[in-house]
Amino acid sequence: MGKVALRGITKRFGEKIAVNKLDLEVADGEFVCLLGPSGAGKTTTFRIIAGVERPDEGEIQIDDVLVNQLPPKDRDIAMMFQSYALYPHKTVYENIAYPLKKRRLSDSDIKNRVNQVAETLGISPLLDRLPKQLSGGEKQRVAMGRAIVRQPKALLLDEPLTNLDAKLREHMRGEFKRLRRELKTTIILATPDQLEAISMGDRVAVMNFGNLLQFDSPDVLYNHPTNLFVAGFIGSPAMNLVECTLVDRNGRVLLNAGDFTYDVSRFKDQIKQQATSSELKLGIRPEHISMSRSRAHAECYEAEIYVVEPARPDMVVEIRIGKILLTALAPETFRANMGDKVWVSFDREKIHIFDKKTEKTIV
Amino acid sequence: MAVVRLESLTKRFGNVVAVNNLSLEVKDGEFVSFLGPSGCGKTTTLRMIAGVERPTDGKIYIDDVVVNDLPSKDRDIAMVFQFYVMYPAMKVFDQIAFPLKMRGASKDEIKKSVREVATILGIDHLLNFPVGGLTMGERQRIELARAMVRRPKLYLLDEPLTNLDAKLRARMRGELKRLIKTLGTTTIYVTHDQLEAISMADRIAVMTLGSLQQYDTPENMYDHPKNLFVAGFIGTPAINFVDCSFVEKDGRGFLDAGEFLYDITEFRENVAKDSTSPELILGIRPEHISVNKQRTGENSIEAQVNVVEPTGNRTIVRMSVGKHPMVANTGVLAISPDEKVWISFDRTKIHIFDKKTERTII
Repeated sequence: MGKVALRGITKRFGEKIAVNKLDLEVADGEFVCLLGPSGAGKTTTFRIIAGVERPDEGEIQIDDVLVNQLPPKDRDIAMMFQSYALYPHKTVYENIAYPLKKRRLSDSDIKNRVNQVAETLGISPLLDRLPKQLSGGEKQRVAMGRAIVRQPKALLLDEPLTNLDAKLREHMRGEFKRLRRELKTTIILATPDQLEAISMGDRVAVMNFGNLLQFDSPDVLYNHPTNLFVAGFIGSPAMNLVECTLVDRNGRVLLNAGDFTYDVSRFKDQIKQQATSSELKLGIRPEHISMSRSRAHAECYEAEIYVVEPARPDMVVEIRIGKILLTALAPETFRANMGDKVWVSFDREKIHIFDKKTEKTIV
Repeated sequence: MAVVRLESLTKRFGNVVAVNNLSLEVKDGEFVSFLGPSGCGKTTTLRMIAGVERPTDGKIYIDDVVVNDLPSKDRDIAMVFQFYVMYPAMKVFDQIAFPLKMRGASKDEIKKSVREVATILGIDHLLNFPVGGLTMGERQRIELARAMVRRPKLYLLDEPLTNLDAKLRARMRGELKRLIKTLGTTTIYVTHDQLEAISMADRIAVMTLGSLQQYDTPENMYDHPKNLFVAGFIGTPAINFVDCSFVEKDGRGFLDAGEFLYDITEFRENVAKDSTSPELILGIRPEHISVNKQRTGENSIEAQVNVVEPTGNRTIVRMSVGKHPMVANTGVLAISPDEKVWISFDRTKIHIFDKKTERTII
């Protein structure tokens, strides 16, 4: 069992609130990602779960047992750091066996467990090697082996992929996910990389400045962000966010962005009910902007191609409507030059509207 | 004007051949990227063009003049590195003005040039601030401003975006490309990041172990790689490679991959002509594989889903076709691990490589 629950956790360092009234419940066997930029409170939250940091307020429960007073070694939580911290003079076998030796398991028990873990992680052929003989990816699997061999209730991974180059990172994301199905341990992984979080996690907790902003499945976070920060943070290229003012014109309700206006009459009621002022932000993801050489219908805007990046398999196209710069995603066959004129429209079903002041999602 | 021509350029460090007989030309105003893994020779080549490393053999021409013996400072180039040391207390203005000050330019000239360049880079509002408190993105632009302010005829950039996080890097790519193309100065950009190279450059020189593999437009590199290395290095997730043998049966030609047979009758002649043996490798990019819940036709292949990674507007699906791993990059897809699916390849996008020579046949 490995259910982890945080209720009302607050941690201050002097004046700074590192974690602010955090409520988070991770189900047994769930793979949850803590996502947020540097300083969001992810590492502090980890340290509180592991027991190396005491919260100022709130409760930590592991399998419904209050563990606030329990020291780290009795919480049965394993943490894995970025640097792996493998013992350089011990072989892979000895590194993984170490936590079990400390627990005074019998040699044969240790052997069984280590072999089993090595098998799961695909590192059986490496057992006699020293850390310096291992590649980055191999070291990481050994570090994981050492963490899981104790069969902890939960595994905390602090930015495990950050130090790897792009190609290895992409490969390891898939490996991690595959591995996790075999491990069945509750895993909480911290990362500043949204792609990592949404491709790996069952659910993702988005944090910023110590606050939990939204805790949902990747799908829901991507398609139904509940606030501006989540909307802009999840997805790359980022969601386009355009400042506008709400105006009534001839019985229609429009968002005026200066260089263009967008009809939102169909959302009239929602906006009137929830907007705290007429200052709003229009959000549209790059893949929901379509471009064509001719004016397809009424709700099209004339734009200029600002720059084209053939970021295959996608084509990233930055366009300008007046002074407003937007990023669009086009299919791989798209061809255009800087300065070309195109007609641009937004997918009606995929519009987001945010209240500028409260930063909450209205539509 | 800055046309750069490398003629049989070679650099040896003891027994190691870091750059091996490299010949290529960078046209005036062109934005060329030197791309390859660590140790491929791209930075050494850049350093030779800059004049901080002497070639062992071969010639470097800048505008038809052999510059091998010309000291760095006389080549009218500007280099931008990953991580330049900036004095934190120095004001942005002074940071940018530095190279002009060194040249003894007048106060008026300096003021004008610095303002001009800062405006182009969108950092004119920061000129009076100390460098110390600024973001990575802002520092990057200051770095570029300092290179640009002398209006050299050639920019040499060595992985300038490497230390930025993924999101900022993605944003800076577009800005940087736009900037460089607007300035129109010949630029050589070294990177190990293939996405950066294909997004930004006019042409890319892919290198490995000191040798040039292919020198072409991003489009050609991606769609028509000349060999296995280029095909595998460019594109993420990487192209799928499947070992197979060429067999002919009943007048038709097939790639026998063990687990499946793939009909390549229309390519049969080229394959027979250009291959050195029947041992071939089939290549198909992840985005050219379609994943379906039912069998879609004769060339449909059964696969088992292992891992599903939603990436926002797309989904990476890692599968096995028997023992062969296969990765697809589809649109948004409702699919789960352990599901059985049917995959098919876009026939216009398959590649066939000769396994022994590693050269592209189709």
